[in-house]
Amino acid sequence: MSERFTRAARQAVLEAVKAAGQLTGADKAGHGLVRPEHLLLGVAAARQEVGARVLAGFGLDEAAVRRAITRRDPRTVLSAAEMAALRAVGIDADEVFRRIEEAFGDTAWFLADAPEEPVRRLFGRRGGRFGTEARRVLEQSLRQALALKHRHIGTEHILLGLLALPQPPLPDLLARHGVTYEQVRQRVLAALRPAA
Amino acid sequence: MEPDQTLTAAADPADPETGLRAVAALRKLVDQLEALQVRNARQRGWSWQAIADALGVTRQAVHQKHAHRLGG
Repeated sequence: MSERFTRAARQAVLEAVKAAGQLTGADKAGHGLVRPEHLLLGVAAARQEVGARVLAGFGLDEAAVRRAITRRDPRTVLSAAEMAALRAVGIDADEVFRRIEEAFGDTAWFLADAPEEPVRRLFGRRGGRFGTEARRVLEQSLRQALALKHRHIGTEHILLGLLALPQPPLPDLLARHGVTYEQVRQRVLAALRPAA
Repeated sequence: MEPDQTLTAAADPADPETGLRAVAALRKLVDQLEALQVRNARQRGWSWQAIADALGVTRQAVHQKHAHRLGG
């Protein structure tokens, strides 16, 4: 699949690998585990590309994305709706998070990757370790490209893939900026339309 | 509309939607807590057997689930 990625899309993925290493703590080989939010950062970092331009239109430039995903919000683990459901049955997840952060620091959750998650290396020697969710986003980006009858996977398809498979913390983050799949799709198509 | 529905649903613990979502969320939280605690135990030099005993599972189960992530 990776051979279908444009140079810029590949660069965005490598940027995600780098961000994962910086933000989540590296393993013995110096790699972090790539999650969907790192892919979003990678897309935003490829500034000249359609994906980043569309994101910037929602007020989400690289710096904004980095800020939003750097502070490990408990909501990276659970969405606002999941927290509310827990509260309804008497579990204060906020308190759990507070104590964990007190004991282990606020990077604790970064270090606790989903345990059952089979990790796979992608994108060759310079690539990194990808969790299931990030891998599914990449597969989804291929599907998004095919659906649009595009031969290559660009950063815009990764962005659409991220929106098609929203995983915490992205739904809350994207909703705050009013980013929806439909809107992004329209703006991507508009951006790709050859100027008349 | 939708956020309102979520909040209304969340307020009623007898609503199956809320209850089931809470169970799913709890499971997710447990997975994360387990990953975190196992990691911490390993960093403090706990053996896989000791971790398995504390979790009440077999050494093999805990190793299979976490070793790939933590190494060893």
